[in-house]
Amino acid sequence: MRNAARGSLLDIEHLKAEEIVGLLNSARRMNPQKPRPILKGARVLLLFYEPSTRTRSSFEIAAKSLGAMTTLVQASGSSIEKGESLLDTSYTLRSLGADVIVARHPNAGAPALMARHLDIPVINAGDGMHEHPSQALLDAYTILRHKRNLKNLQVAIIGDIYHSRVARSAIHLLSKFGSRITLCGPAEFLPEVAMTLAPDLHITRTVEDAIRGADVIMLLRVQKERLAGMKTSLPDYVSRYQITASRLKLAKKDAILMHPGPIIRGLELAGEVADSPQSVILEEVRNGVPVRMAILARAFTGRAG
Amino acid sequence: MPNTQPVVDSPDWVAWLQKPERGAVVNVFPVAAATKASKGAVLTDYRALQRAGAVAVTDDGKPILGDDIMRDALRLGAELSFPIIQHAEDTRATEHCSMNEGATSFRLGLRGMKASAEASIVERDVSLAQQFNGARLHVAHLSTSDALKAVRRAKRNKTRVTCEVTPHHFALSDSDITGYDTNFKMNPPLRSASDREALLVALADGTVDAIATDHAPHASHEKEVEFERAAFGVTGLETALGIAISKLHREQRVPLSRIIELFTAGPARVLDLRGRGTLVRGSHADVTIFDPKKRWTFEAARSRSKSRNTPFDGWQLTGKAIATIVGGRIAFRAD
Repeated sequence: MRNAARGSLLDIEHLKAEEIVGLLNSARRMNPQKPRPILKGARVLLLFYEPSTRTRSSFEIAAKSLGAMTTLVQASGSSIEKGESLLDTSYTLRSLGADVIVARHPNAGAPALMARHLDIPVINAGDGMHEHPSQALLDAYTILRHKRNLKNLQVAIIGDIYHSRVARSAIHLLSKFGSRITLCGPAEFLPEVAMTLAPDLHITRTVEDAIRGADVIMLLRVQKERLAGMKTSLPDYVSRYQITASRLKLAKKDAILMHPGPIIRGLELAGEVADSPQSVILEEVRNGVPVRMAILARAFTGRAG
Repeated sequence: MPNTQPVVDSPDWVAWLQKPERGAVVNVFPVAAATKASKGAVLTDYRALQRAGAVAVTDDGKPILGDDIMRDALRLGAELSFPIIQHAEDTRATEHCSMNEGATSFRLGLRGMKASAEASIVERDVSLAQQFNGARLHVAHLSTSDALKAVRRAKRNKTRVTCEVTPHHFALSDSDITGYDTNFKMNPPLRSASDREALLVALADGTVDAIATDHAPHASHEKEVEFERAAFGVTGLETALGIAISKLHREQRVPLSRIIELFTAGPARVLDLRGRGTLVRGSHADVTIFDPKKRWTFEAARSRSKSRNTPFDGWQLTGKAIATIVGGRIAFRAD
């Protein structure tokens, strides 16, 4: 047992505000179009126990843009399927010469477990319902391209917050910088206890109240299967919580609409809203690359930038 | 406890557990399975188990959920004055859960067990026990305030309901879980601070009959895994007395005599162990000598257990056992 190696990124909750600022500043200096081989010869291992499109390819492009070599290990088709423990897999990857491991795992705390037993940095690419720190950082980066700062920004986070690691990371990050956060969703997706995650969180069950006057609207993915066992049916959810063009009008004129993806048109948002000029959904994906370049650079140098 | 492989559900296994050839240095009081293979469907032969030396029956980690089978168990137990021990957990409501439901589980992104999953079973069991004169229900490792309320009601109604509490439940709460440390994962889970407060009150006021450790050693490969995949359970034998004296006596001012009762006469009453848990003339010479003022630090690495799965590693404790005498022989002597 040890402390996580310097340069690890396990969660936003325990990250200091100045470290976040450092990472965002570093990301602004990264240009995926003009590769800087500052990580030449380094080995980045992408260990993915869950399917992922954008996070995985984004980390891969980020690593390659910095001159690093990447290897992808997925649960299917590896010894993980044969029952190897997470720690044994981690030790194996370390012996193969991994300099940093980027891990996506269905269990909360899995990257923290790895980091406690490895002498190389571990980057959490999403762990169960816990956190998704690189997503929160790229969301902050995206917001700051449209808004002067995060303080006093009115942010509505709408959807399945209970199951969402994106929401937990975003709430921790925005709260550290003084954003005014309103959470919105049915009780099954948003238990009252969510208010204890950070100081001064507000909860509403009425989507209009959440959106009214908002600077930022953050939507979360809603899985149809989860609605199956709930009091709120799919048509109920759509009618009560879907972001439509008319609901979007309640927000500030220059409000931006965010979503970590994958989006389901016609469920959490209307198709026209996804394509509206206020939507920054694809910009978030694009911003993922420089932000993850900054995260990887910090992993190797032990500091941002 | 019969949560073994194979399940101790026959008189033969109960007899085997007590064989002198097994060389136990402590008294062994077997608790047999309440239903065959602990499957919750068919009662075991209580009369034969009792004759073979079992002191109670339980299905421990696989609680009896069916109303009818629990009613049958309590009825038969009433006839034989045989305690039915229940690990009170509605397992239909706790699937995939690895800790208590609350602010900490939400923050860690772990699915939480509701306190009601314990309380609802205790309430059900108490009401079933009240149907049979002489029925004996013992609630194992009780952990929630609501379950305590049900036990209090039953005791007021003179129903023979007893309960035990573990040192980890009265010393810790769910907010002590940090960094996904699996040495804090057990079932029932560490509960809220207010549940813990309620346990402290009940330990002092006599609602709780016994302190029990729910000692559950696990190999490191069962614990050094993802929190949600880790085995439930912690060790507790070596720390029980020190935790009780430090937390109950020194912090809460519970008299030492009450703490001694919770470790001795209390459990002896729960299980009807005649001539045990007391020092009166003619009793068994089972004695623990302890120093209530001895300060010491518990180090898991120096534990006498083969296992290290304790939440109390590095704790400074007051109160330590110096020697244990079992049936007149010295079984343990501190270094």
